[in-house]
Amino acid sequence: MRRETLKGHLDLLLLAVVAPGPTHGYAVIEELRRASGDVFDLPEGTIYPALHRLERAGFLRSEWSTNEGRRRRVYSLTDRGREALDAQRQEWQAFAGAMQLVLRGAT
Amino acid sequence: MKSHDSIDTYLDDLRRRVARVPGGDDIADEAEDHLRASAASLCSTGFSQAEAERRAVAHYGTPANVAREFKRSSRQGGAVATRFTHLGGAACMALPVLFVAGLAGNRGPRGEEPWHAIGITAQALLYPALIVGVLALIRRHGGLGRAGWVAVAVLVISPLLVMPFSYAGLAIFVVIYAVVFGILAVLLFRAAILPRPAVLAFFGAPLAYALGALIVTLAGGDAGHAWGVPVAMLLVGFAWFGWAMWSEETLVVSQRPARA
Repeated sequence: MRRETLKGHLDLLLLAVVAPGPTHGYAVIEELRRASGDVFDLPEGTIYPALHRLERAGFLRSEWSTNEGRRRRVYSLTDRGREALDAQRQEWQAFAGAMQLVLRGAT
Repeated sequence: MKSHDSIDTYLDDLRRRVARVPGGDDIADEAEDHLRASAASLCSTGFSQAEAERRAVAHYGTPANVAREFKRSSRQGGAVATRFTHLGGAACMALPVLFVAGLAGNRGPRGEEPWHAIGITAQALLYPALIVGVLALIRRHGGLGRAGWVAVAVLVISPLLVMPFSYAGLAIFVVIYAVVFGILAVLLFRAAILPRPAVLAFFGAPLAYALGALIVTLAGGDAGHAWGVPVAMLLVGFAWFGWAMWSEETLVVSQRPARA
């Protein structure tokens, strides 16, 4: 998949991955890769600026904890983030469904 | 290009590059947690410690790229694309069409319908479209600080400010717009979120007017007639911004993004 295509949907994907519960950056990226069947595989360091931006926008919150003597930042979804995720998920599902219908008719 | 075979050398380089980015220490600590977790995971699948670190570092991206992304992100504040910015993009793209239609309707044969009516309608829509477009530009940037809001406030009330001055008000109007778009251009350029060529069109418009007015005046003409090029530059800038905002994926339905 083209990297630019994925970047256009990164915010939604990150909100979806964080939605089940508090999680740290490495786990977010691993889950993104696993859940997509290794299709969504961006350079890992470029995911963090997006997580920080979503936090500044009020969709995520983060707290620092300690793990094996290292500082670890843990992200969770805010109420506003969940609202945005729900709205965008519905819109995306409607879009994807319509695309499927059109493409199926073209075969 | 410098190679990073170990997490420690990678982090040294990254810490140096993000030292001046807000929250630079946190960025480096988060990268360290990620890289050590990634290397531990690779070790558990059979890689040596050295090879695991090399692979973890390679997949993280170069320190230069990571630092560049953080610098860009730090300038964006809480900026996200929303449905309002999407709508604002449409308003920005409509501005050149409305302006040309308004101009044609105004200069066309008097009383010839429906072209005159279309021209009047286009002129009436021009101002609200301009306000929606500029507000969306500011919203897309997560706010442009106090200077940005002052610029927009002046833009909104400018027709009232110049109304008492009759024909002379036109010159005042041009000066107000030059200052407003000059301020917006500087703020938009520093934020570096939307295409910079469009920002340069904004910035160049007041300069083009000043230069044009000077040339026309020196040639013995009326400086008030030097508006063509700067207005065209502004409209190109708006259309460019409009396309950028229109074509973005939107994230939020209605709520206002939090201030950074």
